[in-house]
Parts: sequence; C-alpha cells; structure tokens
Amino acid sequence: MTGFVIDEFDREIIRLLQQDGRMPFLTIANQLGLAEGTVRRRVAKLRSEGLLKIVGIADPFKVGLQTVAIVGLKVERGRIESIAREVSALTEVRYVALSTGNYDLVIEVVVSNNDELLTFLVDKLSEIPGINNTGTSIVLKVAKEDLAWDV
Amino acid sequence: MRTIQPLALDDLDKKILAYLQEDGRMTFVTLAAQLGVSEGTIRKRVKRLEESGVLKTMGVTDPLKMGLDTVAFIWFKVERHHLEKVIVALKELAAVRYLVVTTGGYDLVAMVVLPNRTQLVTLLNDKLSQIEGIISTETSIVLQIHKQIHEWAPFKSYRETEVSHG
Repeated sequence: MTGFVIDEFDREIIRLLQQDGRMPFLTIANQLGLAEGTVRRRVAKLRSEGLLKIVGIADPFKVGLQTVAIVGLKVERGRIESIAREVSALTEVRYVALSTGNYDLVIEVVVSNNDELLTFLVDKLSEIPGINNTGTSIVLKVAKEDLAWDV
Repeated sequence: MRTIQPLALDDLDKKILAYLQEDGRMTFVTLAAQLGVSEGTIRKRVKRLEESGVLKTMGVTDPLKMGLDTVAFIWFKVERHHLEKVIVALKELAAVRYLVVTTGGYDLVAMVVLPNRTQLVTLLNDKLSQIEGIISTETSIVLQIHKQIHEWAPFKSYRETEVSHG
C-alpha cells in the first residue's frame, strides 16, 4: 500500500487517460486549466506510485490468442501468498486475485488454443504444490469489457 | 460487439503491440528507432491496429488502490433459454466491468467493481434478484490483486530489449 494521496486533478487526469491513453499532455492541461508540465509530473508520479498504468490493450481474440479461461483455485491456507507469487510468474496468466468465497485465488489465463490450455493446467499449474482443487471456466465470448471504472 | 474483418498481423505489428503493451505512451519516434522503420510507418500501423479494434490504449488503475474498495467475481448459473436476456441485463449494470460467457460449472462470470461492500449487497440482493433466468450465483470477493497485466506471452518475445517492470 502506498501513502501517496491523490487529489481531484489526479482523478480528472486518470479519467481522460482512461478514454485515450495517448491523449497529449497539452490537451489534458488545457481541459483542466493546468500547465503541461504539471500534468506531465502528475502522470509520472501516478505511474511511479503504481496507481496508473498506460497500456496498449490488444484484443486476444483478434490477435490469434483463441483461448481465455478463468480458473478458480482452492489452495492450502498457509501457502496462499507463495502460490499467488508462483502463479503470477507464469506468462500465460494475466490476472491473479486473492479472494474469499468458493475459491482462494481467481486467475485469468490467455493462450493460443485449447491444447496450450491443457498443457498449462496439467504441466504448469499442477506442478505448483499446495493447489488442492481448480475450477476452469473457458471463455466462449466476451460480452463486456470496460476497464475504465469510475475513479 | 462490433464485427470487424480479422486483421492479419505481421511481425512488425506484433513488435509494435509488444512495446505498446508495456508502455502505451511510447512515442512513435522511439518506436521507429527501436524497430528500424520510419515514424510514418509506425503511425500508419498503429492507426490501422486501432481502427480494426485490435489495439486500444488506455490508462488502467488498480481499483483497490483508487478507493474502489470492492472487487468481486460473480459466477452465474443461468437457464439456457434466458442466457441472452441475462447477458443484456448484466451488461447494463455499471458495476459489471467484465462479463464472459463460459463453459464449465458456470455459464457466466462477471467481474464487478464497486465503491463499498454495501453496494455489493445491494447489487446481489436487489439488482441480480430482479433478472429473470439466473438460477444461482457464487461470489468471490477480491482481497488483493496480485497481478493485472495487459501484455501476453506471445508478444513479449517480439521485444528485442527486455523492458524492466517498474
């Protein structure tokens, strides 16, 4: 956790960058009545504090990655942190969350095809000690994806 | 969802995606220098990737660090003949940020982001209960986001120099 506190200008900057990650700093500055240098510094600060990432998001289904799966993991309680680290280190995994409820960890896996998913589940995930049970939901269709939540 | 002609990606496209996945604000001049092509070429390629819906550049935050205290995954079992109607109803809920149709033990999985637990209770009890066709739900409340990336393995290898994570 960070001790850095964001203010309303930071939130406005983030809202604009959620719409267009490449919006010029000058455009943002003009919209908010700030100096371009101020916007540049604030964005750099938000990024270095880990609050904001500006990323090009590629649609997996349009770039040949045909298999996306959401996998819930039940793990041995004492090992949850180490298992989260090991799972996060796998390149096929793009999302890892610790959770309450029916699963201890929820992960999202993106691979080229079902064979690779099988290899991932059988060869990689099962190699990690302490995972007791997994539930795999293969994504047939993305009905909605909107990462620009209100900040 | 828009229907778009699939775009054939060549090595240059994949290299551009690899860099922009890591840093969405990398300048076209820097990209051009890294990849040994002209700035104009990069500009044209990026435009094409954006227009075909392959690439979208945006600022992404960790909701838990931004004061949005409640992130949850909701797993749905749905009556088959109501599936489309349930999808339409769930998409309309602002709290639902990611919704996928799945095979397996559940028919739909949604990620919801909300300011607090009370609103999650409201969502589960008041809003979801009004949607016809939902048989049951299970909710996993996210305690901590360990990894949230938007770059995937196949493109990483297209970056000549490994860019270190912050």
